[in-house]
Amino acid sequence: MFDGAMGRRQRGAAEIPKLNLNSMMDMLSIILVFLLANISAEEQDFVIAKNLNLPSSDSTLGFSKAVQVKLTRTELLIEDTFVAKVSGTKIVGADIDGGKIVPLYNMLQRYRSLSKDAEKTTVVFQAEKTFPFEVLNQVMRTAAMAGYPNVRFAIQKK
Amino acid sequence: MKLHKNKIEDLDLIPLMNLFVTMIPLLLLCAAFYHIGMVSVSVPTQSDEESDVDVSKAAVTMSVQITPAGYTLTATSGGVGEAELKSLDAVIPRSNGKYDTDKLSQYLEKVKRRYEQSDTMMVIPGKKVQYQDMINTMDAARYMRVATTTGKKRKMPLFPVVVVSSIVE
Repeated sequence: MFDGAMGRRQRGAAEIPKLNLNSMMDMLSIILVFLLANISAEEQDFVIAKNLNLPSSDSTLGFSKAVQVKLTRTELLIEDTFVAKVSGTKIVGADIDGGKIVPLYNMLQRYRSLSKDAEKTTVVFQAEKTFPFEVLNQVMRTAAMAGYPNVRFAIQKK
Repeated sequence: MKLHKNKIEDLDLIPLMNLFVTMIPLLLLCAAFYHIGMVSVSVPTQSDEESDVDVSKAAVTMSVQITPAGYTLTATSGGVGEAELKSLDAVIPRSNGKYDTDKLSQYLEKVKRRYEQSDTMMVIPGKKVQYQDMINTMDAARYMRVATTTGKKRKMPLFPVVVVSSIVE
């Protein structure tokens, strides 16, 4: 009886135990499905400025490519080019003439002249959700004067 | 020999695991956890061209002024009489310190049912109105969620064309 038990133990020790991969496979499958559901090719091109909380909306309109004007808590940018400083909720250090922010106006006009799609009159506007309309209006009016009367507000989908 | 035939072979999951492990970092790079959308608006501009608004249509353009006290609604139209337009004026005060977007939707729905061809709304926020409040107002005015007979909710368009303007001082 002793010999038999010993023999079984020895045979068991010689076998390499197999790793059970089933639970690991289940986990990876769940992660894969979750990631596939969240994949979005078009949003890859959209870069949100730093220090920016976009407002939330239930709009279903998708992202479209256009010149991006970004109004963060610290600066005003076109694409990633600095235009003016923002202090509190005011644009500072930029000339304002007849309601338009002069450096923004000049840069937008330059963009328009260099753009292949000169007929496009839309800007994508990223702005901090807590900003008052007063400051947003200044930027929108400048864009309209520079030939971009159509604005697309970037929002975070609800 | 017989023993070998009856033995159930384990499925080799290693190649599939390798595939999954390669795909996960790739998908992590492409995944968007922050879904971005757009709200399309226009800013009024001065133009030498004639207005393209069809005055023969029984349509109204609603103006929603956002003030610290609430919403003030007025209507304009080329094809509707003054007295009728005046009857569309309304004030929706803030409720519990928040703008009452539900009441705004309900009111605009009534207007939309009366003038079905209307689709344009002018939003006129006050200087201190926050951007988020402006977006909420536009959301409430563009579409309304209505329950269908099947119990599902669908979006009913109210005034989907939005023009953002400011108060001229």
